[in-house]
Amino acid sequence: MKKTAFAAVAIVATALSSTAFAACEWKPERPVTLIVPWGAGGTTDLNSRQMATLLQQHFGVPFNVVNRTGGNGVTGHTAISQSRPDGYTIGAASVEINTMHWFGLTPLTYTDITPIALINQPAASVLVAKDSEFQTIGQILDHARANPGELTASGTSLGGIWHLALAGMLNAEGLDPQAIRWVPSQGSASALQELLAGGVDMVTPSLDEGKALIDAGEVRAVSYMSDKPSEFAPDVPLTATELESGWTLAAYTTISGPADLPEEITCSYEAAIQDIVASPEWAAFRQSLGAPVVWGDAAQLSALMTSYDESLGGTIKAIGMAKEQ
Amino acid sequence: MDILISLSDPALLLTIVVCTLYGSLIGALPGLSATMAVALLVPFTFYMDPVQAITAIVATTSTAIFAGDISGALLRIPGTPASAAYVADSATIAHNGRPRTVLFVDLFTSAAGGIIGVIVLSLATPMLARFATNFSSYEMFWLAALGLSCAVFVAGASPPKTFASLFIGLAIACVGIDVAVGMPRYTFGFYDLFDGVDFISAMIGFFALTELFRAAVERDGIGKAVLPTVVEPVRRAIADGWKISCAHWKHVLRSSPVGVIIGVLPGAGSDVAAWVTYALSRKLSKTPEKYGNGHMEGIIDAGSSNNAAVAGAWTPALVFGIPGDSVTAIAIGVLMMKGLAPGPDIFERSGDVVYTLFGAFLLSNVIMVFTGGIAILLASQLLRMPRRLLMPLILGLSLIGGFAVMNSVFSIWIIIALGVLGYLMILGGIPIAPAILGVVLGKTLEQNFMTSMIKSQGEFLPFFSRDISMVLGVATILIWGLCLLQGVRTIISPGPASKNEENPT
Amino acid sequence: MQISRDIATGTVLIVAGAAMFVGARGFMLPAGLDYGAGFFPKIVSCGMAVSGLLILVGELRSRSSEPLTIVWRALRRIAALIGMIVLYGLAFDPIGFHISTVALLFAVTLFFGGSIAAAAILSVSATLMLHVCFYSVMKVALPWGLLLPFAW
Repeated sequence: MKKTAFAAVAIVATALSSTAFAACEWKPERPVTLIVPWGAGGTTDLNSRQMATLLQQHFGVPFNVVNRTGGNGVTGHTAISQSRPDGYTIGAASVEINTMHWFGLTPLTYTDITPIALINQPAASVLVAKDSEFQTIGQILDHARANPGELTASGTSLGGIWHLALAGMLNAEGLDPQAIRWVPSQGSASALQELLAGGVDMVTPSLDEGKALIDAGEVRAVSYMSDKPSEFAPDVPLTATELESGWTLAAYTTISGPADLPEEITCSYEAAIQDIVASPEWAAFRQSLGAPVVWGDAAQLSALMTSYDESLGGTIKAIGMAKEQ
Repeated sequence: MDILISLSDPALLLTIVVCTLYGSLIGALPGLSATMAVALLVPFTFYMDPVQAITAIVATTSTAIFAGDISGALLRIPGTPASAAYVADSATIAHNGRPRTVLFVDLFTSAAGGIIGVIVLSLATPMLARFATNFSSYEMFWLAALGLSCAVFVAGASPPKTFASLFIGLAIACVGIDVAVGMPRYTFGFYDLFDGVDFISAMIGFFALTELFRAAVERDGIGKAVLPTVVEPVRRAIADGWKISCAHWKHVLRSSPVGVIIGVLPGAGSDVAAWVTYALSRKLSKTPEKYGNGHMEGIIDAGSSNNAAVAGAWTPALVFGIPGDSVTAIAIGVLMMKGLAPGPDIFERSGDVVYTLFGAFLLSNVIMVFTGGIAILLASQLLRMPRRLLMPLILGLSLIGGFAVMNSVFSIWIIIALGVLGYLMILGGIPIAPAILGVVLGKTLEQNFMTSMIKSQGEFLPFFSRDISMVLGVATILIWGLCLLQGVRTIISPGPASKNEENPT
Repeated sequence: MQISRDIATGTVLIVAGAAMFVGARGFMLPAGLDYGAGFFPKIVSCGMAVSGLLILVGELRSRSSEPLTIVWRALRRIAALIGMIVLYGLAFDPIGFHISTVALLFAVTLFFGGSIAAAAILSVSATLMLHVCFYSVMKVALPWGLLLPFAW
């Protein structure tokens, strides 16, 4: 993901020239629907609902969250992409927009939605039970190299972003991506349950999803797949410095619009969300989740999606899960 | 003392009253789940103090689980899956002219179950949570398999037909993306089917639409000779309800703890609790033949345990931050937002808040008796409507309720398909209830089976290699063996069981 | 020819089980495992077929269930009801929740033998009630369709 910087600069330049013509003064006059491709109670849902509440205050019209779950995100993302581009339907598109087309689940790609803003970018982590023999990520990788297929890991469904985090790391470190076997789970919560019950050796969700159990001392964070230490657990070693490949991976949540959303509407939302993300309410909310405030404008988000699509596609191909369309 | 003072705060009492009313509405409307109700509460909790916020969630969910019985009894459509186990009983009693009595029995025993749940919670939370962390996919697989065997005890039909129904339910649960390899199965290219058939849609199709089809066929019965549905006077209903509930205190006392334990386990909640206690109740009863035909015992056992399970789901959430169900998943978010990080030391760190929380839990169950009573009185007016007007109302409610689940017109197609399937099953003499159990448990069963197989690399031995998994596994195999033996015996020599349905020809 | 109810039930279950089994044969296996996406559906389909077979055998031995008779009037009425619901489903998004629900409830009330006045009152009041409960209180995104300019 190091190539991103150049691409971002180029896109920022073009984006700037196009925003110059838009006044960014569009305002919704009736209720807006915010589509969330994931179920109520998850991280994406929680962030989206808070964002909807604050958008409602900002614009003075109701912002209704609608959970369109299904098909590992296919249903919801398709719904976002295909809604009428009038600004009255937006959605919380997430990193899966960059993965599901590689699995052959849908022809939909990131070019079929209009990026507005990046609001969350949680990096993966490696968590083990408190009595685990492993202290460092190096020990885990050495063990997996010597005994491929012996260790198990969990965190999400097969091909889910936390699975790609693990398989991609193994691949980048020159191991067989299956050297640690992936045990699919219904989500981070049930994976953590498996870890506590001794059913798997490690889980790889985002660090904040394991925060409660880390604080409780039931689970140890061995590694954080980022190049910047977490504000809330600064002592967790980073993969960027510990590993030779410098592997990092973070999921992301956005606010995006349907395909062909007019520039006027896009930049109006972008400005509103920028104000909200800078507000103390949002900061307090993010603090309570154990996550930092994240912000990326439409141009940065667009660049991010492009680079993710390439790198995640590489990982998916490397682990043999890519399918021809 | 501080706890009592904070509990008598008028703002808190008002929250409970409003939320129990809100919960009654959600529970009674098919399609609206407690999860949705709680997700909508979240923005309001920003402006509340921690106890008030959690109390709002607790009050809403407890009442919603009870109120699911209101539409179950009055319209034969369970409002939540937790009411599906005993809907045949409660609807029959209501139909025989005692709708309010059965609902008040339900209300009293639900509240009692909830209160017992809170008491267990306040005494044994850390211990129960520790117990729950022993449950890996092996244990959950056996538990789901054991839960499926309840179908055999619940349904009154012949074993082959009960099994047929169960397998139809499991087949419906196969639709959607599979857990092991992420492949779409039986979806015919529809993205809306990728997530499978939601059991709320299944319930609406199976119960509400079949009821409409039945009514459509017997038009003459509806048009002219309208059954003058008797609704008993309120006072008598409350008095009878109280008397019946008190007479069955043993049932409440034995089923509520079972409900709490099932609620504590990950992945199993009020719905499973209701099925298991209903099956147990029938097994232990002296009059098992009355079950399904309007018997109070099953309603009392299952009705109290599903409310006790609501409390149980909070233990792993409070102690380990692991949600017992989707409601507590949202609740954990709210807890953390209020600076109350879950953890084994939550009792030492924030003991006051936790015990106030338990107090609020208790209070919610008490206040629920009053607000739930109002809901019963209002809702039972529905039965005064002639059926030719009631039927369109049920249809509208079902279709919009179904829409609310998926936010998509596709749910209307699912409901029609399952309604036709359910009607065909009724024509073919196949009971509906086991199929619902199959839909509810099918995904859990397969997921935990495949997860276990992947962990064990295809070996069966690890399924028995852990203490709890061995006990559960042996119990499951014994019970299923007995069921199968019984089923085979009725085929080989048509015994009394199959004689019951024989028609002299 | 007379076919008894249980013979029909059993046969349908066997056929359905077989169809499901054939469908399950194409499902993938995960790497290095003999059990994949098709494993559970195969068990379920076999179970369905076997229970169908048991029903069939039981019936052939005892001959106890009543013969299957087709009541055309019943069939027509159910088909009419389903037709109305299908039309409703098709109209729901483009025309909108309010108009289509009023129309459906009006038609269904007449279908069940209600008077025109009753149908008119019930369809409008029930739609309003559904709007309040589901749209206003529960924030379900019911589509406005043609009434979009008047959305509130």
